[in-house]
Amino acid sequence: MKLILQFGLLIGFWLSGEVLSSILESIIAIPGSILGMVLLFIALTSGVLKEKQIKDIGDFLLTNIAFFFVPASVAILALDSISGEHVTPLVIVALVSTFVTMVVTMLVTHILTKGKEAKK
Amino acid sequence: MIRELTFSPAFGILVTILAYQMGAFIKKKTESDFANPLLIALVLIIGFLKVFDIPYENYKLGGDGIHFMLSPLTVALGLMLYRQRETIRTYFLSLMIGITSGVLASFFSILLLSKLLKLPEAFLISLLPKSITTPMALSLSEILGGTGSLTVIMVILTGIGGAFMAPWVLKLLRGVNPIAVGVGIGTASHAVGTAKALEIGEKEGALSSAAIGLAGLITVVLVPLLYQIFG
Repeated sequence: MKLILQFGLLIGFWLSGEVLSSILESIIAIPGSILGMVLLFIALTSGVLKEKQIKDIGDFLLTNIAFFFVPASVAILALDSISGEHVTPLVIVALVSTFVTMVVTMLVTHILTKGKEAKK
Repeated sequence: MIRELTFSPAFGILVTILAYQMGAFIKKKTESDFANPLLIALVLIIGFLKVFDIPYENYKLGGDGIHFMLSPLTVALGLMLYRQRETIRTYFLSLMIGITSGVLASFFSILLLSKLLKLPEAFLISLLPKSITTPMALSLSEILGGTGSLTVIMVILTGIGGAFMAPWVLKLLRGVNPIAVGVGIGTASHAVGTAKALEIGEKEGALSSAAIGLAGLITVVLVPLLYQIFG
């Protein structure tokens, strides 16, 4: 019962996100589920919703995130346009850009927090 | 008989559960950064379908049932973000500027490298969300017109790669403070990298965790605009 109710809440936030998404559509395209996430965050931060009212379903989903992505990754079987020659460039772009992203983020953040580090 | 069973949604669901359990088991036994449960499940399922010559469409009947949970899961990330509110409040400015610089570095490096290596446009688009957490990456990929499955696989690869290179990057950038290390790992390689950040230290782990959700949000807002201008 508790889980069903919490699941209902989650779906309610999703639907509210969809409504907000269609309102914002002409300005910026943001998926409804992501706006639902923002609305849930706001509800929790403002105290409108208590953590325990969403905790059980939230933890069930959050601790098993990777499981829910298995079908989405198997869908690669339906992608005809990919061939062996693409694999190496894809891997190179993914890994090199991950390296660049990590280094740039660390350097910029380091320079910004240099002075603050001593105080905390 | 066996053939007919694969037409039931139960088939795809059960195969997914078994393959994922096996992946989680291998991860637990080996404790290797390369043993990613999702990646192992993917390889097992594709191998199984190929060996027994079962069409992907049959698997999809059950797979769609699991796939449906992705949107509620994305909403639940709001709870994750809420739990990091203290870290976010304390390091708000460092997080925002650090992550934004990372999102820009990610966007331009993918754009440049993809053009250099002559990757098709659809693949370039599918790569753009790869540094953020899978639920948000998949939504962004769909909005940009990319291929969701390719995005998910690139997200996994990025996570594994990020976790692997993090200690090595730390050696390269000697003396970088823990805040920067956490923000860097979380922004570049989401939850999979964050597991490594937690091993490095408590502060690194907390900032890396906080960076996951924020990097996702900043990417979802910025990347479609950047792609419109530079893509």
